[in-house]
Amino acid sequence: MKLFWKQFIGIICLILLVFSIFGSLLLYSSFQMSLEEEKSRIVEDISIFQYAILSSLQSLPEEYEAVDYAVGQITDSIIQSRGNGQDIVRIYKENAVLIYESRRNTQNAEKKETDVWNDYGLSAADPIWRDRQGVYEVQKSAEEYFLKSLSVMETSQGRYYLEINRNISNIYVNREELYQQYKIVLLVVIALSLVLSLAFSVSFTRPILRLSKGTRQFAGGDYKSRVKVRGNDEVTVLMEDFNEMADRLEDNMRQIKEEVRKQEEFTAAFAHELKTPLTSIVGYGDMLRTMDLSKEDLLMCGDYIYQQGTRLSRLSHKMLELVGMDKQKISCSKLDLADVMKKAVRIMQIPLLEKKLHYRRQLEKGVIWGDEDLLISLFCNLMDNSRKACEEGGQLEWKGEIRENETYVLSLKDNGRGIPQEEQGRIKEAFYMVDKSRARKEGGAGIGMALCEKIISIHNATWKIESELGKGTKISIYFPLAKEELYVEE
Amino acid sequence: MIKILVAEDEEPIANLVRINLTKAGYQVDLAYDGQEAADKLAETHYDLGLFDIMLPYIDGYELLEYAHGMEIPVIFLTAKGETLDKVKGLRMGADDYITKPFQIIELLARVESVLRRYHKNMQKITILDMEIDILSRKVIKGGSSVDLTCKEFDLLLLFVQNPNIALYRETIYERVWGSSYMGESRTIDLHVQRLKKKLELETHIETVYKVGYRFVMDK
Repeated sequence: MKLFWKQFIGIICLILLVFSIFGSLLLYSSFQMSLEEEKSRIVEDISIFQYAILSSLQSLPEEYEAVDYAVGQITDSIIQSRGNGQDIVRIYKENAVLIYESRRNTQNAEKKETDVWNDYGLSAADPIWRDRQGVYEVQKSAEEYFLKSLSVMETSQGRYYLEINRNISNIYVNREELYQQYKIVLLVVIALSLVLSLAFSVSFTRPILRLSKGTRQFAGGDYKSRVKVRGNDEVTVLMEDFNEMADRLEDNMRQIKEEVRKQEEFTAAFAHELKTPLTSIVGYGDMLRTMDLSKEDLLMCGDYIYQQGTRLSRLSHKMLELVGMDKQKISCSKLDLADVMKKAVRIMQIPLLEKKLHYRRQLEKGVIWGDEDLLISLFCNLMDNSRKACEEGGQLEWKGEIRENETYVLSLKDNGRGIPQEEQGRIKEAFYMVDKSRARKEGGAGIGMALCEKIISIHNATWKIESELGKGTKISIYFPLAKEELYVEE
Repeated sequence: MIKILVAEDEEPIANLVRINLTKAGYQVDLAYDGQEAADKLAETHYDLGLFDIMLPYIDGYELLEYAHGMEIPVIFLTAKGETLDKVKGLRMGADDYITKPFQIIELLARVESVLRRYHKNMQKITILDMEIDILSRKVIKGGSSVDLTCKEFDLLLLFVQNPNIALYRETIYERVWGSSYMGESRTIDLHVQRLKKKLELETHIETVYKVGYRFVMDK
């Protein structure tokens, strides 16, 4: 069963149960109260009758003959004065001899006097009667209800019985009317509770349905879909949690996709880089084996094959460096960048001098955490780029300074040919070359900058490339300085 | 003479294509980037364009559109071997696709077939004293027609289209019989013998020791 129906039916049942129990109790107790009231009124009447009859009998002379008649007269006058005209009052003498009847009841007309006792379940000689003050009973005759009472009066003139029959049908009519009203109210309550519980169930299950729809959409591949959060309850919290989870998932997936895309691009670029020298090698090799070539052509073919073979080997070497860096354990130690730069310059000295490049150094001391070999490789790569970019006699300038006691800024400047604006965004990608033919001649594979990017990110550093076509390039690297506390800990 | 424009930014590959196409009797112009290629297309009329896809400045796809405007057939020459790229190239109207690395005889065969499709007059090859009609598959030697079987004709065509190139047995088998070479097979030798006899080509079809055969024209 659906939660909606469970709740809907549950609420209706609860309302109905409570209302019907409460209503029946109310009806029952109000009816009982009216009945009790009637009974106590009749008891009161009995005592009035008894008192009046007894006291007037005492005042009669002892040898008064028409006692029975007098009793009837007295009773009559009491009925008159109390306005009990509706009641049927009877007085019997011993052995159920009727001596007075206030109103002739047509139904009881042909009843024998002894039957009266039977009405109360008594026999005329029943000794119990002597001890009883009265018997009360509700009797139904035709469509009317009567509260009947029978009581005993012991007088000096003998025993008298007083019977009062009172029509209490109105109580029953009232009860019936109330019951009818109750039924109407019950119907209204049912209708109301239907509407209420429907509204409640809808408002309760709607957010759950919304959440479930959102979940299904998400599961179906629509990773952009989110659940609209409204309200302020547990379901809302669940929705918020779901959205947060979806955000995370989407984020992760985007990252993975990005990674895969990068990987694919890298693989494609790598395949391209591999196939290019291979094409030459295969092509010229094919020429060698299928054609009668002149000595000159033979040499040319051989040279191309050699050149491209060397290029392949250089590529594989650099690739190993790039891929291996992920796995290789980086040995960090405290290094003075000025010192590392000095070592790098020593390595690059000969190539730089060969091209008659002038360089100027202005390096502050700055201690960072880093891997010396990687940093030397980084600086050599960047210097080599400068060397390639410059004409003979070009100027190189290296500056290093501490900024705000936190960052060591190392900048390498050259006045080479610069990088075109539109290419600057891509030069960090592996295998990207601004000028392919020239890069090839200089022996580049297009991996240098990707390598630099990796080394820089390993050192938690960032870098910025500023370049103007024809004027030169300035590369600034921002290294975080080693903190003193760390030094103390060591 | 048929003029071919080769747009390829890798100098060794550009030279490789140029040398071989020149040897096969075409006139070849080289362009090292897309811009240069577009300029050359505008200046001179070419019969065929052989373009790399990843070219600086203007890429191969753009060059293709440019060349199509001039009704020049185009063959892509690229390392991008993925099926999707091939489909894209062919859908854009490239006439053929050569994936790097390639064999020289494959390059020549594809250039031939594209040119033949575009130039009906190339359906006939006249060589030595033979006239070979490729469409009707007829050979006329010295004024009288010679009957050749299907395979013999294909074999002749392969020799004639690759003059002075040593054809390896594997290559011949692949090209003529259409399946890969299964080691020692006398089939090729038998067919070559018969072809030599029928067309009196004993001096022109040489046996290359341990390799296969070579068709030599200038003897």
